[in-house]
Amino acid sequence: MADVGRPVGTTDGQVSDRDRGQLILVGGLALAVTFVALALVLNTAIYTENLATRGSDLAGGAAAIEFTDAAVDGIGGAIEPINHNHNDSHETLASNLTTAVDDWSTIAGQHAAFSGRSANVSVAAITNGTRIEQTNRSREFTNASKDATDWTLVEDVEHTREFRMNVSDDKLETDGPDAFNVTVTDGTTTWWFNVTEDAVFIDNGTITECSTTGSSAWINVTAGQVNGTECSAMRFAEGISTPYRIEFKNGNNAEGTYTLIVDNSSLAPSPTGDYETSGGSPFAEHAIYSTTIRVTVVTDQLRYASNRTVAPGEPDE
Amino acid sequence: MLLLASIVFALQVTAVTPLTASTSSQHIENQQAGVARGLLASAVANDSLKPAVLYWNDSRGAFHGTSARGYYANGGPSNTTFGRMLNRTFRDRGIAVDVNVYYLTSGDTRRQQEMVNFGEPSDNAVGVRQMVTLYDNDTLYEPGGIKGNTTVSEASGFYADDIAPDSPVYNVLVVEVVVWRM
Repeated sequence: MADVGRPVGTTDGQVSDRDRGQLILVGGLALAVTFVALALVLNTAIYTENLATRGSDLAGGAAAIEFTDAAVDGIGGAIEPINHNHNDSHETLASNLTTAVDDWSTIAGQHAAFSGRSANVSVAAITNGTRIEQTNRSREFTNASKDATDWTLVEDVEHTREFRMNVSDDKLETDGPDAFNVTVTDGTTTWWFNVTEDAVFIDNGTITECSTTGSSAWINVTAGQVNGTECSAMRFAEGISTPYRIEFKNGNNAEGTYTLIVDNSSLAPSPTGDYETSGGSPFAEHAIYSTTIRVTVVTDQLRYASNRTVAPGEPDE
Repeated sequence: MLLLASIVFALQVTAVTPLTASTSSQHIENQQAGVARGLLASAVANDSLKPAVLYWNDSRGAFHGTSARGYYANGGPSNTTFGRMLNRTFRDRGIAVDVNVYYLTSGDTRRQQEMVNFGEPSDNAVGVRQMVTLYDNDTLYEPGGIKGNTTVSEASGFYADDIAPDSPVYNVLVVEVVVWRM
């Protein structure tokens, strides 16, 4: 009988050539599919990690904070022209500041709307104060009637900002106890600095010197700078508790201009006898010391509101 | 042999990922946005952004030293600190920059004043914005970066008008810096 149970070319117990070919084909296909699947998994992992390490500002909070910072800068810059031009009374100052803030809010709000944000700035509170200034460059640092060389500028002060002076070398002493002196005292502790021809001496526990060169000295007391360079010892009213008073001593030994803004709001309406009331220096005018603004930013993913105090030129704590 | 061929095939597959250093990488976009934001913040901090915005030639009606088109085409505003910062940070590293200044008019429309234009931004450009407030007593700047004598309210040819006449605020501008790889 012919054996028809087995295909041609095979023997018992061995895989045929055709079977071997099919095995190689299927094996190769399986391996390829495995490697493609592996590559797919690898790519997914890489993409997920890439996505995870991108920026995390999903809700747009950074833009809201940038808007708030721009509001603080923008409104801070508007306070000085208002203090100079509309200082008849605290009410006039307040209404002018409110108008300025409303205008800023309208314009900036329209810009923000182009980026899909609804933003608004309003005045929450105003701290009134007094601006004390001497603009006559060739006048000594005495009081208005020139009869006192040691006099108190202002009492009952909690905060001071924008305290700057420009002193020319003419009347300055070279050294010693008669030098022009600015003292800040709360009744028990004192902080002071002297201005002499070559240097500024500051007492904050120890006496530190910041040198001044040239024919005049620009001293920015609240910013801690002498002639444009940093004077790290000049930290205004360091260690003095509030309320404090500011005094000038030996005012006849200095000549130049100065300006400061304090949060004592009762000096301007009724200045002491040490100030000129009808033009001339030194004078005490109504001023805005600081304002608190409320900034709100609303987007489709975020509602942000913040109160910020605007007091340009305040000493950093 | 088959194993080796499969491994070579698989290596080819994994080479195609979003991490290649092409100009379309999202990471590069984020990095450039960060640098641009830092540049604008530094310009605000060292008081060089406002002089750049006010570097205006009032009689000509364009920025100082620009071409007839009214914008700078091969660098930042010449002779200004902001221009030098732009050039050092972007142009010298092969990154193109567009600087636009947006302002509002009294008719509530938003207009654009081109300051720097290196061309049309690519599809992978990023834009960063910064607000600058102008006041009535800000003065225009002369060539060389010196403060001039004309205030913005006196200048007749300045691009932005005083849209808040009852307050010391003159206008609020938005400076936009667009960067992309050349």
